Amino acid sequence: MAPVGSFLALAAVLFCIGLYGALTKRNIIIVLLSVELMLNAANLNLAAFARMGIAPGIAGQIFGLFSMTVAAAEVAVGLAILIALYRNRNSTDVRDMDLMKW
Amino acid sequence: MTSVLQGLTFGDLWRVMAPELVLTAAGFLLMLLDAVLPARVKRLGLSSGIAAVSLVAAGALAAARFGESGSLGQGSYVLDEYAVVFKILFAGITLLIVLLSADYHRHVELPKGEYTYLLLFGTVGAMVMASSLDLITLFVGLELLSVSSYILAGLRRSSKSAEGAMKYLVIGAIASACILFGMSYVYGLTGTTNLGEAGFILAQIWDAYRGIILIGLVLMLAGFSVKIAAVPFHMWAPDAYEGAPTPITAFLAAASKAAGFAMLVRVFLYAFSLHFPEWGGLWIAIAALTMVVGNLLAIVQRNAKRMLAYSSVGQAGYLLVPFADLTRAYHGGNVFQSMSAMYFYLAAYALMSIGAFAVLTVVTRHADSEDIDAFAGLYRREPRLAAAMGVFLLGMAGMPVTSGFVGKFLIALGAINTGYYWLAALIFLTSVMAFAYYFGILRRMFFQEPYGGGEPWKMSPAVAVVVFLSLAGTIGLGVAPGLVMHGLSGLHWFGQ
Repeated sequence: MAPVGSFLALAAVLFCIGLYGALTKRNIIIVLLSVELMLNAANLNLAAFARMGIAPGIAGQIFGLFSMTVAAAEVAVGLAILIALYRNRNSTDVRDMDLMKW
Repeated sequence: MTSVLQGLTFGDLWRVMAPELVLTAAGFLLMLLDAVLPARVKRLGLSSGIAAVSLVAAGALAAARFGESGSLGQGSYVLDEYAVVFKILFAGITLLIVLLSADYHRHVELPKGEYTYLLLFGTVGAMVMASSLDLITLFVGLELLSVSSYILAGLRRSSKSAEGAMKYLVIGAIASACILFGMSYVYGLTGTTNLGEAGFILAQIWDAYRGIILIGLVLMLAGFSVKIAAVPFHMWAPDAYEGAPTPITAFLAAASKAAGFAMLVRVFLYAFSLHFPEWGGLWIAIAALTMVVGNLLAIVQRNAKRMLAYSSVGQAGYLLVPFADLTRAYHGGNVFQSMSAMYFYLAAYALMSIGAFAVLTVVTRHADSEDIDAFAGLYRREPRLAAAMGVFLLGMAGMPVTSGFVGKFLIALGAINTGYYWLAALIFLTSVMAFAYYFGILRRMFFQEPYGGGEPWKMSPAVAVVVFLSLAGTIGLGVAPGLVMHGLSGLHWFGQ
């Protein structure tokens, strides 16, 4: 089996890609996708630690289940707000969300 | 896992988490009523009534457990005095918000059912954050509050509301992901999700895994800074505050921030406090930066809601100061004094900001504008409202005879006691800066002529009650702080 370090490295890379996407992408749907990537990177960590961490145990997998549920709720709300916003602006570009600044 | 849950009776649950159970039940009841009742019955204000009763009950049930201790699931959910005082604070804040909303709903088109039960669920989330000692429950509590807040911020049918909510959601979700990622490292290194055990193990393995622990710590620090709107992670706050319905703005400023602090203190104190010197400087830097930048940016605002939002950013800086001495004092046993100062200022700040936002709802409704010029001549239109607003603003700036002064004084005293003289000086300096922008509103209220005839503005009974209670708290805590401080200084907080 691959050592735990490779899973952690993959999770860290996924997290960084997600953070980069969330901070730079212009389409709000891609931004939400990137946030999901960050959350799933954390889930990967939890699963890897639960299976082959320093002290393996079931708690990490349970934590992962909870965080998946929470992430689903979050993105559902995100899409609902996006629909409300789209009705107002006819756009999913974050550059159009500029009514309020500073 | 089964062994943890076996033998768990309703009595155990009720003893430790009665307020949460009551509010959750009330929330589901409101959900059900919202679905089945016809519209003309709903108009009678039943939902606000049920919410208010459940919040009073929750606060009373929390207070009834004063001095007791207990836990569920092998110490993953605890009843201690820290949890009790925060639960009372949350129930009180949300009660005021529900009262304020009862008036707001009459003038602004909002889905009232969702609005009320989401407030209750958000409060449950806040209570879980204060009471939980397990990473999993802490995270779920945090998300319960956050997701409820995102929806509430976007409920107004306006372009600004949706935009503010979207910004809040994206930045809040990134913050949650950072916190979760940091938590996953804490779990991975210790093999437990219990904060107490994790802290014990982390202290032993600190030197071997310093790098990875610090990465997790910094990610959590960034995530929590977003949740309490500390600089440089504050950019969402003014937009979300401006777009949200005004009572929800007050909820975000008071309850969300207090809950963020409740969880932050738990996590950092339990998991990382033994190696405070390695990371304490980060929080101190954030505290200093938040005080300065929040107050500076508030000076240039023309929109009253945005100005109060930036002022609330600045207040997070003051609140972080006792946290900074708290963790240092952890070795010397001075932890209770810092906790009391922080809690006192949280309560004082919550009352002042709710009062200020309550006045703002009256002004913006009549003037149909959120500009600070809408306050012009308020004294001529409604002297009581202007006087109350004056007290709230002076209190937030730290004027003597208000709770804001006592709170800031206690915080500065704590900073001096732990040797951070420059932080105490900064508190004083930024308070002077705060006077600059609060005086802008005071001058308009008392010394300018009202626009357009100056006919009197009526406030409804519900708003009057909220303003009166906030005023009584602000002045009461300012004149006789001993009443509360005496009680707080006798607390054991974490039940050891």
